[in-house]
Amino acid sequence: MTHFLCLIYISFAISTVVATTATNDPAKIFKRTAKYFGMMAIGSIAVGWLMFLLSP
Amino acid sequence: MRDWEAASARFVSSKAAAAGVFFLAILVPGAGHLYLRRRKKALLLASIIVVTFVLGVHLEGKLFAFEKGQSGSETLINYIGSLAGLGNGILYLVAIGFGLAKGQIDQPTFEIGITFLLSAGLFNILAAVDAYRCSIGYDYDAAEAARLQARGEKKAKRRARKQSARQNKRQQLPK
Repeated sequence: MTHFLCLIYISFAISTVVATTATNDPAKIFKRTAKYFGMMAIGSIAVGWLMFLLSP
Repeated sequence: MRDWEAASARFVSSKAAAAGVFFLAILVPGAGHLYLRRRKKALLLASIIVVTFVLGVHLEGKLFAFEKGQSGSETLINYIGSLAGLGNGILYLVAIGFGLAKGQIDQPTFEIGITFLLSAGLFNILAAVDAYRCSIGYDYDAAEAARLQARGEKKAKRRARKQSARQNKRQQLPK
């Protein structure tokens, strides 16, 4: 559970920092944060599912 | 583009002053933006950096401190980790000074702690670069438009090259 929460937090932190430092427009910051967070969440779920399938 | 804090923002006139803003931002998370009177951005970035760093310390992560390892590769990893950790600025110095973040390798969260500490340092470096850009009045929209145009031109060139290669192949085929 700790690992999962850490993954969620670090994904949120990365997406917020990257989006905030890329523009000064608050609407764009919000949109990009949501976009990057969504991409990372989908990626994490996909990788986690693949690892679950590949695990013996 | 709608600038968040266009009314209150401050700019600097020389490159040396912009470099000063960069080092101020590296030293204290959020201070560079605060100096440029971009309070919301400063608060957002500083809170994320500080929370990430504190969580890293709490999760028994380790801060690297420019030590020589037992092998060359270990020394290299130590130095790279130290540079990323040094990005935390004053947080790094305080943690090293007070003997915090020494890392407990037997703890299950040890690696996550290291990840958080290094991420906080890299976030602060990114924030410092942004503070430098804000200080010189960097136009984010123009840069993005130029980047998109360059990408479009590259794609068009690649498409044209593929088409000409296809045509050449067709011409070479026996009729």
